[in-house]
Amino acid sequence: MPSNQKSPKLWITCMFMVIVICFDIIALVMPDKDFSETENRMLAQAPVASSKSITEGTLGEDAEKYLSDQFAFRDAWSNLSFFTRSMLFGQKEMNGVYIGKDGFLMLIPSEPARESLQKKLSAINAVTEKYGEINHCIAVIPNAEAIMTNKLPSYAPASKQPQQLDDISRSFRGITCCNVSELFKKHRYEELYYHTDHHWTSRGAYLAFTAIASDMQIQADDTQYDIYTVSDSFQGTLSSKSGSHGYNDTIEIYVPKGEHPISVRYSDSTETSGSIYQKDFLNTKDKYALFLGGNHPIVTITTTADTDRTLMLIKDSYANCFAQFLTPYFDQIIIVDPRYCYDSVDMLINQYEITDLLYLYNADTFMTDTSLTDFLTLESDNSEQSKE
Amino acid sequence: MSLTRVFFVFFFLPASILLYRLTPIKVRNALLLLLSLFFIAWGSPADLILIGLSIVFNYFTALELDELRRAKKVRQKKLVLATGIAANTALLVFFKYFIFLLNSIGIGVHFAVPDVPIGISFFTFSAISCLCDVSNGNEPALKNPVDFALYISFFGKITSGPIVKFSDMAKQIRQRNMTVGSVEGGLKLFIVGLSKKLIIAGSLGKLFHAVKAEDLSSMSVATAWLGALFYSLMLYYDFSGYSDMAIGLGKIFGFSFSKNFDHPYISDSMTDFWRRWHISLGAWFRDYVYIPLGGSRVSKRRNIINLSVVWVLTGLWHGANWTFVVWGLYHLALLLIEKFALKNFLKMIPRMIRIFFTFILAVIGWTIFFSDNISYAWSYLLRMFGAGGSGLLDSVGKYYLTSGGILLMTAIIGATPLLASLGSRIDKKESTAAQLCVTAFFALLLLGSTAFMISDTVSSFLYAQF
Amino acid sequence: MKSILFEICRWAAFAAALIFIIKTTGGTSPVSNANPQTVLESTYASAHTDNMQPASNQMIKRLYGIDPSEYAFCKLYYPLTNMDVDELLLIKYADGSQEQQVKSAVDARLDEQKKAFENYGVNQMELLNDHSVFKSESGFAFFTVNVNADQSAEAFAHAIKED
Repeated sequence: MPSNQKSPKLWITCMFMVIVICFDIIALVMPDKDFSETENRMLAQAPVASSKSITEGTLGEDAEKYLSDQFAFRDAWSNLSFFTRSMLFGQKEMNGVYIGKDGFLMLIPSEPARESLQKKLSAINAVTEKYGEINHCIAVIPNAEAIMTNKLPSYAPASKQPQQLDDISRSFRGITCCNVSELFKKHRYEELYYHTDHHWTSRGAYLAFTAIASDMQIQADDTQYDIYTVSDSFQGTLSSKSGSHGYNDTIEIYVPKGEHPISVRYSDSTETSGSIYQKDFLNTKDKYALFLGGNHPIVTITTTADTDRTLMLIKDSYANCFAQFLTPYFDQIIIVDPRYCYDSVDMLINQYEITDLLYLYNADTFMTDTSLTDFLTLESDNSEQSKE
Repeated sequence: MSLTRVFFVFFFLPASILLYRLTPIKVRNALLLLLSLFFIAWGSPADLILIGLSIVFNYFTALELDELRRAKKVRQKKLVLATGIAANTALLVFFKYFIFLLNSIGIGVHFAVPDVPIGISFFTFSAISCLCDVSNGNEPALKNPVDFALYISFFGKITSGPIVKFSDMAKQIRQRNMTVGSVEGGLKLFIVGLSKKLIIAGSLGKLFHAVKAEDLSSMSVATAWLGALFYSLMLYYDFSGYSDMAIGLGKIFGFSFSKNFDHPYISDSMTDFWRRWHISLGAWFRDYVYIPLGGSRVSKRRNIINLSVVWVLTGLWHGANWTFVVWGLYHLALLLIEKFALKNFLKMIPRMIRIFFTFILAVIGWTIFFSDNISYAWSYLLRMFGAGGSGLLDSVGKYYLTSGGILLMTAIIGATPLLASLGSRIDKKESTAAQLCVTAFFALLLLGSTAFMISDTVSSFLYAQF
Repeated sequence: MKSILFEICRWAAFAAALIFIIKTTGGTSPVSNANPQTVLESTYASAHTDNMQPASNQMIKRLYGIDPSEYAFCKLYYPLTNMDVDELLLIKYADGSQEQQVKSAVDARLDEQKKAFENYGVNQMELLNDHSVFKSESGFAFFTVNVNADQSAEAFAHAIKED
């Protein structure tokens, strides 16, 4: 080939070297970041070479993690690959999240473990029977995937949740079970769920509240609410999980009209607060933590409602934005998250004079989590410890 | 070190190219060897010891074979060769098959075999190739230990091949043509391979794993076929992508390795398929197993036995599981039928139809290949042909068709020679515009691959959570 | 003459490889005679334990689903404030067959913790992902989540070698 001998073409070589060396220089110059807002996780830091990390080969792996976590314009690269996957290739799910229509992201519920679910249901029934004098009530809220079926990607498999929730409600004895599936389906055009987060909106929680209220023997329409929009730039957990960042959610809060002074105490901190809203979180990634400051083992809300009723709310994070509707109706609300709480139900019921008990979960957590069963079935741990 | 991660692409490779160009020709092999050793040690330094000892063992065995061949001590030479092959095979068997072997004869295992060294299936086969070639007198042994060590450990090929024949590579290690132009061509191949692996194979892999997680008992025909197609193409893009990268890397440093994949999915018969799929492995088994056993110049019965040995071993080479053995026997059966029963019949069928059926047969083979056990493979095959399951096409099938269809079509078109021939036609044009187009295209591939390289750590992080 | 030299060299390499493989092969490493309490103390000493508290048998059962009375030794330090994830578990098997059971219990515990803090606890996730260690050798199982996990694992490996 004569052209080869004249002057070899080196276009690709130059292109490769320029691109690669540019990024190397940027990598050297740019300071490292600790935290990725978009992914909501800590980024890997420069590994420290030690004789141990070298001989065991962990240094290489740590360095790879570090380089790719701190790679220049990391978020832009993720967006590019997300765009390629969803727009060019037409992929409809990313890391366990449906890329629904109109930017709607929906968590794909995990398959429930039948046996542990059965255990949980019997544990709930046992507690109901044991504390007959208390009003027991349970609400398992369907996830967006079961309700927003019109926003699911086309041909996505039908949700199993409606059937599962039916089965669950039939297996309860002596406890009022509130199934909001039908109600939610009727109102599904009203933004009941965030588009980019796995939680429901305050609007969704309010709708459920109107249904649950009658089961709990409280008058929902006694209270009027002032509705405020507190954020319009919320990108939630599903955004981080799937890598889709094209939509911003709005967060609303429902503040009961009139004077309702309350005091909120968190078991894992010494401070008390006068509001269930922690507005500092609106400046962070995790804006849903606005409600009760995210998850805590036990939160105690003391109100001036003077109704002689004390509620124990056993819940997951769905209930965080539900609490705002309950404050006018109970003197005290004990909010327990069994996932973070090592106490037992017996101990807490004895400690406070509980008159009402409400379980509030989203279906996905309810069907897969095991901490609730532990919380309900185990005898008080402290008593045993003191005996030792 | 992985060829598809940030450190290699953005640091190791450019640094190696620059160092290589700056180094005088005499010490270039030493430089490549040092780089290769660093490459191995990056992931697990313990491998360095084992690979190093394997190199020492094979280096001296090759020298001895050379010596004995020249002294015409045939019996002694045979003994040395046999022990050499046995030692290499023992190493491979111990790491890859020991537990499998003990389990299949019903012995429970109470100890942990250490982690499998990087590229063991490839470097032991390279070593055996060297011993055989030296013993046959095809190629004198490499006297310089640096040269020999480089043959075994060259970082381009140690992780996933190709298994370059000793007689091909030894000459190039001693002396090779080095032009700047080869860097250009090598980088092109490398970038193509990188994008095949990261963009296409990675995305297909996600789809395949989603299908495999579906409940097999209620799988529709369409879903089953889509899953099998996702896998067949993923495997091709993954493996041929790696091979492209390896051959490209070889080229960058002046080696010319022959093709490892030659558009296997347009084969018009199974015999043809095996001339195009993982060519270096097929060649290795032909040269070092099939022909020494007598090849086809023996009785028909003996020939079938020889072929059976080759195909059982080929199956086992892919992993320690009965499914791989069955997969090997499946291919053996197809090849025998083709060779002895259908030879003349096939000639009468139009080529397009032969290509179609060959592809389908290969896909069926891969379903055995990707199954975890025989019974899973059997039920999967039943679903593919409509037994049990939920009909021809259900909503799950439609879901995968719509979410994977475009990628699948792209992948199928990319598996034909269409794109490559189009590319080379543009590439031949000398005009600046054409060159600019080609360069922009490769830049796009490189940037696209980078995007997948960076963001895939997100998903692996998420996988690790559950 | 030369060929004898080659022969010696290659078999020397072979022998070296053999020794290396035997040394790195796990084997049923002999059950350590180390006193579990001493092992516990030395691992605890090297861990970051500000956020841990000792657990009762009841609590071990609840968090790990295993019955401590079935083991020769089983002690757990668990998170102090429920919003922490620091913990340290030391088990001595009553017999070798318990290894699998413990391994899956630890896996389940780690998974559950990750699920509980996923999306919320960024720092907790980092600890669970990057500062958790599980080891099972010489009849002991050791699991910890704390910032000094690597050091405590080293202390564990060291302690079980001593009688």
